Amino acid sequence: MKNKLNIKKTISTYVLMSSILMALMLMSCDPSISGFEYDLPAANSKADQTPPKALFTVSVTDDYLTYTFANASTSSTDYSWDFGDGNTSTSVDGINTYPAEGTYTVTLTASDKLGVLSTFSQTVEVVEPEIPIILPPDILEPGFDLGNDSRDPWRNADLGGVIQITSSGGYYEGSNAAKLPADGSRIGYQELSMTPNTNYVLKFKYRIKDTNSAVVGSLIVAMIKPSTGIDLAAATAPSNVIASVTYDETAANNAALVDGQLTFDSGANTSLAILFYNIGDECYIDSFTIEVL
Amino acid sequence: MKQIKILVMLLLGVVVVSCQSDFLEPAPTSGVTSGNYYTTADEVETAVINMYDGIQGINSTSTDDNHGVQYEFYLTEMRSDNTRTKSQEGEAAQFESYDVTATNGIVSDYYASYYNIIFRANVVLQNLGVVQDPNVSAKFEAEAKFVRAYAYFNLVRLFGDIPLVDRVISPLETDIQFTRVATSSIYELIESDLINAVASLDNTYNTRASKAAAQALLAKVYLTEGKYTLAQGLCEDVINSGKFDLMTNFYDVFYSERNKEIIFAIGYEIGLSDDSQNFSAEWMNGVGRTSGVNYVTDDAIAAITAAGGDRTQYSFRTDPFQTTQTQVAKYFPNGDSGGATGRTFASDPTLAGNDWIVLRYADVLLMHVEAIMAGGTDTSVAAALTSFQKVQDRAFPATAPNTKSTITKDELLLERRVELAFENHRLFDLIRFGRAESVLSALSSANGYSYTSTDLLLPIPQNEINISQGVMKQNPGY
Repeated sequence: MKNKLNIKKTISTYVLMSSILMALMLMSCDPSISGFEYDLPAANSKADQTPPKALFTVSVTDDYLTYTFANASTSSTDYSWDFGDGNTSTSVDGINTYPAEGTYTVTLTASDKLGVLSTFSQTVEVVEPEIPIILPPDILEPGFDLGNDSRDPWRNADLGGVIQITSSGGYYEGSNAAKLPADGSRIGYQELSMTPNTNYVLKFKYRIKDTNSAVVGSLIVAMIKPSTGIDLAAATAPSNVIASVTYDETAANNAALVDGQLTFDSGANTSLAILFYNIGDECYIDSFTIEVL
Repeated sequence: MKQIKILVMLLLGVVVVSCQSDFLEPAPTSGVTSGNYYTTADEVETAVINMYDGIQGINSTSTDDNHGVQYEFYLTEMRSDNTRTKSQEGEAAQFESYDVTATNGIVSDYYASYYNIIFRANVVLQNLGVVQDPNVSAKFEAEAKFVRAYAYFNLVRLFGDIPLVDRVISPLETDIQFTRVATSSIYELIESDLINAVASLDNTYNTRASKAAAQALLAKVYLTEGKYTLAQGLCEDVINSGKFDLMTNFYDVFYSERNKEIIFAIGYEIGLSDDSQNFSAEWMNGVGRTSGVNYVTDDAIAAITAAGGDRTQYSFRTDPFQTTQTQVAKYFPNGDSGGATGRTFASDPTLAGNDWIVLRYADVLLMHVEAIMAGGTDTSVAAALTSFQKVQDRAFPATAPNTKSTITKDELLLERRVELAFENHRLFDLIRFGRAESVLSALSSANGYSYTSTDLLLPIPQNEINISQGVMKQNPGY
């Protein structure tokens, strides 16, 4: 009897337990609960401290119509590009070839898995690059035709005295020319801006006057690196001279103005100076021009 | 009571007497500190040598040590299309697949090493006051500024905006340690430091700073900034100095140390644990700590085979132990190629003495071409053709003179790749030439890597971000 009672008791315990279990199972199957299964609990949850921030940088490729866009967005996982010409993309970095020149607004929309969006726009100006045309520099007072006022662009007191101006017939073109007296105390110097690694030719007229028959006079025309605060010897040191030409007196250049020229490569220089000076005899120089070869 | 008063008076007397300053003298000779050490020019010179020791790095396998330039190939060459790990394992493999994480220990090793080098340079600059001879002082200053500029130039190209530390700072100056400064300001410091170094140095050394090293490095800085004419002038200064020339045999560039082609190298000595390097061993098959890193990619093999000429055989070789793989041949430990298996060496390969070449003459010749090209697509300028031909004539002596009428940008980039392969130039070249995007995207899609444009900069090490307590922001993409 006692055993029977025990058995009954045990059975009723089982029934009770399994009914609780069933109730639990039923409850957990309640669709109104499983609907929240993937939601984060609202209480104690924090807002996203680092929302997406869209950003990109633009660079042009060798083809002027094709641009690459480097994605620099933070805290984002998905991207949508609008290149402004109708093309779009969802890749991380963008690349686009535009149909023609024009101004396009590129927009990047960056988002994270919470669906927070951030957009960034930048305009791209697509322009076909011009083939650079190298213009020769302007020489100031190339013909010395303003008389003594022509001397100012040609001064460099560190290298020598300022040129004289002549109006003696046969020694100039136009109305005047530059004159270097026989003592060699004067020089002409003018800085010009240059395009690097370009070949130029400097042309001029000159005449040597045999004032001192005992010596063979000469005229030196050189392109040198811009020189301030150094004397003529330092300025004409080989390391400072890009190119130079020396004309000794001859029957021809003694009798009339003749053509002279100096060809040079500007090398790694954005500025060079014309320097002319003389040794032994009076020299005259006029009508400078410079051309790009 | 009276006794107490006497005692107090006595005590006061002792206290007053002990305030005399000469009780602190003479300074204890056994207790050298950074505060009292530097008193003579010789002692400051030890600080100068200490900078190069910092670049050398520590030859160890401990992840706590600064390995200096010994780890540079991970961050540069293995992020280019030239090399990869042998077996794609560990954090070393993050570089080749562009999966570098902010917690990568090799990245933080390099970052810490190079800021440590900057600290060592700043120590020299801080203690110049005790050097009596103004010429010696100017030399030390120039050396320190060269080293500081070298370190910043590498850091700014690898990490972008970085903290600007131009003097010895204390641990409390956290604003300087963690404020990321725009790259333009970093470049200003690099330029002014190198201009100073060019002015004060001569060409006495090639494992210490020299005038030519400063000129060549500044030329590279100017090329990176697009200041081409200035770069061209500096390259011509090095070329016209007459101090340097190409070695006739390409092999000798690497295995006859401190030769006429070397403008700046980091010196190492064989067998000395304090002054040797282990990267040579790491590039072998399981000889160093790793199973093999800086192995040559198929892409590089193809490029060098096609355009290398005589350089090819000295640039890479088939791994004799694992013939499907290819090893770098430029830095065999002490010149020993490791016998039939490539793994047995006469002396300890992990204590190798091969110098690390930072700048050499062929690099300057090709920089000269790049400067004249000035960002254009090609050049026909005679000076550029001459420099280019010099490099080509060594590689192809049978067909010399190898004249050309035009050099294109891609030809120049390829020539730099094959001439300077595995010398940590390739990644920076790709970026400077504007080819990183196209080349690395193609490499990535061919090999299933995950390159995006943000991978051109490394992450700021996570431990720096953490200890900055929110001041330092990470680079995008990490």
